[in-house]
Amino acid sequence: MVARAVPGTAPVVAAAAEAAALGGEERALVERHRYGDPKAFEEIYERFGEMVFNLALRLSGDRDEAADLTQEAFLRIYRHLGKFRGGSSLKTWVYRVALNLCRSKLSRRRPAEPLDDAEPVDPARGPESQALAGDAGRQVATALTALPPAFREAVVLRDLEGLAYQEIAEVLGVRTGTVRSRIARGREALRRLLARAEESTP
Amino acid sequence: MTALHPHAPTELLSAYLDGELPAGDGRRVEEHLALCPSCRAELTSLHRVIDSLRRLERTAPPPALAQHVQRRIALDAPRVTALGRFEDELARLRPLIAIFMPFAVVVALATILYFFASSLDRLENRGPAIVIPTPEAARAYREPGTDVPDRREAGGRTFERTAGAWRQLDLPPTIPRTIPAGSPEAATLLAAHPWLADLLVDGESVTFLLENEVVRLQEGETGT
Repeated sequence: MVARAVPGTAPVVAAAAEAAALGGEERALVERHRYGDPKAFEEIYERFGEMVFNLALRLSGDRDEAADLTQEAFLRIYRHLGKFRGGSSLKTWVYRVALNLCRSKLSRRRPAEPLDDAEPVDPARGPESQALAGDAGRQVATALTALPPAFREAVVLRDLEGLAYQEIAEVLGVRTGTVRSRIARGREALRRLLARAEESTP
Repeated sequence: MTALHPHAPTELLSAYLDGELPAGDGRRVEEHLALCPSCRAELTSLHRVIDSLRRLERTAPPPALAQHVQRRIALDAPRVTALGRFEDELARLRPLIAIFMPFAVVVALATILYFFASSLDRLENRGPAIVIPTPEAARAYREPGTDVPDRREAGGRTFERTAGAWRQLDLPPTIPRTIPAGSPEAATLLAAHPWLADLLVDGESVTFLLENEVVRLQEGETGT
């Protein structure tokens, strides 16, 4: 990898003062990247690659698409990490970059789902994936992709990624009250979708 | 939080399962659950949904993905480095920009205002499309083909000649009394005011103010 930052030009003092939310280790990692250490970004990928890929997979419901999204997300992370001032933890920031990318790419792929969950399975996903939904895990994964995006994001960040409400609020840029409501409504919608899927399974 | 009556809202139960309720609210939920089988069933059902989600296996990213990411970044790095340099330069100039920006804005606004005002000025100076003539201009105007007015000073007055008729300027709007040039009165007038004769050499009549009366000395008319 090629160095991004030009040594000696980084605003070290300002960055250090603002990086209050960063742990010492994360701060060091970001600083090394800023000063052009290629190993720093490799470490960042090692640390967050699996996390970003799974997020993309659960939001898109497709492995190939998740791989593309992950690649794109890390390109963005690489480009913008030098400007990251540590207003949140590095993990939260990486999630935010990845989530925003998934949102913009996935909203282009298909029109935004209506907020009521009348359709148990996304019709755009075709009969094949619906037939495969017999397996319990697949059923859950399929139901997840049928959730309205706002609920899906909240549920994935909470139940699959294990983030606290406060962290989710930072990633989504909303208040924790909104996070609480979205998670509850997402889970309720999932419960109905799964109940319906069970009924229709012979 | 108000009393959980008749049932605890799903949102509260959901947050309770996450351990995200404030201590007081959590206790209220627990007290309510102890008494309400329906809410206990709701809690169990929610728990089952959460459990099924958590059992979803995490998927390892394709092994080649790391290399793909590195390759993409290697392609992008020169651009990012150049952009980074530009941004660093911009960051260094930012205080200067902050100082000079208000001046630049003022100058830009002043320039815009100046051009706007001068264009208005030009519009005004173009003058109205319909010209309303002043009384003098109206008097001076003659139909095309008629004689161009000729002015002359005589007897301390200004005369204007049109079609052979001399007329003193600024006469009161009354019909002049005509005095035939051959009449005795005319002879008296010509004797008293020799300039009348000068005018009559170049015209057929002279209209002028004679002691508060407008008179016209007319050649070619014979007195009676």
